[in-house]
Amino acid sequence: MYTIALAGFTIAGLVLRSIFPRVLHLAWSTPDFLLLLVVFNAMFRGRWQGGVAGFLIGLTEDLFFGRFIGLNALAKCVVGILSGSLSKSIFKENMWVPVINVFVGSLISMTLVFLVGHLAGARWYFTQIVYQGFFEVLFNVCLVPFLYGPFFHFADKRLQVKEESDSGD
Amino acid sequence: MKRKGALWAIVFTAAVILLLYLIQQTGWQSADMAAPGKVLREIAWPVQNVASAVDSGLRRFFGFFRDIRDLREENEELKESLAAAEYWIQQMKELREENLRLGELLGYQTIHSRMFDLVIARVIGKDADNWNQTVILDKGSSSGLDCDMAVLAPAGMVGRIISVTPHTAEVLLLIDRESAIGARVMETRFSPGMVTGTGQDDLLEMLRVDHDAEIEPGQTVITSGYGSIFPQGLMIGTIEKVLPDSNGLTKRATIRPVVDFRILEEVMVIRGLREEGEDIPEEVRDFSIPPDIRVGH
Repeated sequence: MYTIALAGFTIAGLVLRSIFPRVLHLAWSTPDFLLLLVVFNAMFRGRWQGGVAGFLIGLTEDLFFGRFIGLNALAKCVVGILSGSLSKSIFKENMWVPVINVFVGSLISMTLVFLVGHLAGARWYFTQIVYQGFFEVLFNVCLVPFLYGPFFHFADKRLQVKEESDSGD
Repeated sequence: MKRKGALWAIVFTAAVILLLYLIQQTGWQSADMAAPGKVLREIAWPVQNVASAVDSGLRRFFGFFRDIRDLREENEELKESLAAAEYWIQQMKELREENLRLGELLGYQTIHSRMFDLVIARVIGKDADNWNQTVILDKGSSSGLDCDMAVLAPAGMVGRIISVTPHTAEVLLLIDRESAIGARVMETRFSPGMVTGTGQDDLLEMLRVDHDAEIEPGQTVITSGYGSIFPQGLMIGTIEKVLPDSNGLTKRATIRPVVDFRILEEVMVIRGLREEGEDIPEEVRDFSIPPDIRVGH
């Protein structure tokens, strides 16, 4: 159930990201809903599951947009692994934890996408990335207080149910 | 244990190399988007379309209440605009007739003496990933659209189609760094070279122009028609600044595009050129290109 919901969130995130600029014309930048999903998921599932989910979500994003396939998969995989590494040592109920995680994750993801994209032949300019990246990070961080609460309750409940059913078996 | 760790390291490194190869192979140099991407976009297309329609509906609904106080005044303004537009359309028809007559007299047919076969499409998605300036249209190959077709807004050039699915098309906007278009200065008929995007919404660039080229701020830049994608004479923008390059041999110009790329909602795609004598469809009349461009030179 949790995995199916995650897939649903991924599709919703892709569509939202695609139509977002129609609603808000800000700096040609949109929040990366999928990055939020990767970070939140990794915080609950740990390093490896976070990394795998990050890879699959990123790959779906790449396939949806059709270019530089693997770029977001790589970046989000790394973010998933790093965010998941902290999963056991952090206090998930504290709102600052996902805020800082998303902030750092956004910076890492953007840096990786920029560097690897450059290696693969994309002509993205550093100033452009800084300008658009600033707004993307800002959007991502601003969305955390609104999205983390519902995700926390959802994941907490679903994963508890799963653990109980696993231990019951 | 050590062997297992080394094995994982090898598998991980191989996976990263494979991924990097895949990224490189599916970059901008590839002619079209990858097939799985087309399938996914086709799946998402109805959702995007509905979301876009709901968004437009909501904005219209709330816009009605927000603007109701101004409706009376707006109505007056619209009446005046309509009168001006009717006069403008009449002028355009007269100029077109005159152009046809002059064209016949000169004994040549230029591209301007034809009308474009246009398809109007709605923008249902924008900018896939914040890195590139592209938009998604709600029409695709089933409407006759294809890669490398030119896309216009009422004000001027928007870009070109870079990928199509049966019901969507992706447009690379002029402002994208990957975009390049042959340009000409309308006032002097001089063709200094290519106009490229800067990645910013409101700025284009013309690079490596000869130092003695006659270009100056305020001049109008139009398409040169070189290459097979963009017809000649379509408005691109106005030269804002001309700056010398550090090498002293060339200079560059910054151009303010006539199209506001932040608020693109509907665009026209040039499917081809309509031969003389065919009826001009209603949609073309509504979206006419300014007469000084269409009539030709």
